[in-house]
Amino acid sequence: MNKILLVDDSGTMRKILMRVLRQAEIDCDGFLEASNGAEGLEFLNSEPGVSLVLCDFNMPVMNGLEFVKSVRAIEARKTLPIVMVTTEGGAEMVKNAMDAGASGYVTKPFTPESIKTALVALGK
Amino acid sequence: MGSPTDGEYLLQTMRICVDEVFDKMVTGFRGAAVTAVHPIQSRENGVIKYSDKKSGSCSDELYEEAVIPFTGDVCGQVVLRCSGSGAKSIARGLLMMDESEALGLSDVRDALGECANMLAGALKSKALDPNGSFRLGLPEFGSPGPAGASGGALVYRVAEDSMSVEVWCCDTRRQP
Repeated sequence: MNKILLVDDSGTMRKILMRVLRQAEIDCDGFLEASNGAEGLEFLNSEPGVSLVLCDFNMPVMNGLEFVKSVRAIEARKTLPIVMVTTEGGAEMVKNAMDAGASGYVTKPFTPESIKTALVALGK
Repeated sequence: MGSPTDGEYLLQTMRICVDEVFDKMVTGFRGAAVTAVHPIQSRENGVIKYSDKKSGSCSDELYEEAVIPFTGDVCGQVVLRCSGSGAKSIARGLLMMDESEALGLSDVRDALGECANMLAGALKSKALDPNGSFRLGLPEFGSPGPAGASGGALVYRVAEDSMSVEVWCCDTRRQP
């Protein structure tokens, strides 16, 4: 299985990402949707087929940075590609995310091409 | 970089942010024209109307709104407002949906919140955040603007609808 996990508190943004990923013909068997980092972690613990995560930064309950750190603390998830897709475009925020273990970073607003470029860089 | 408490600078920067967000993310809204800057606004029963003192023109009634608060050396908020049909148009443009696809009220509100979030994020990067010290809040609806803040509103004519983007800012360093 080859599922993409979308972690964003905005249902609108999850829908946009699904449309953009379908248009970009990213190889995928389906999507899982989580509205915060804690829900995202639950999916990762219960769904074995997740091969890519797209994650927002600012979310209630558990934010994107805490989520990335929590995922990287799981031995089996240390190389799982996680791309941050967020309005937080400051250099310090990008550095914090990459230091925590994010694999890529896309700033909103984005074009479909910028999402595809980030995923191609990860071999998707 | 200008001062984030300079209302004119904030509005000029927000205008660039609106162009960027709508050009990249909201299909069908490219080339939206600003019709009034520094408008006079009136609020009656929760409905906002903007009047341009110079031209005398008046906006549609705007009542759907999303508010993104931000905090840091200065605090404030970005407010996106539109008419009911304008909100649906923005939501459809953002979600790349055509007229035949059903759109619920929660979809419209969530889309407006996301749009306002992107506007605030772009403003944060361009005008507020040289040191990465600002934090954006989660979308809110119906929050009043901060008293004594600098800033103003941009009013856009988009297709048959109106939309406004307000930015308000207070310098927290001046407070005891």
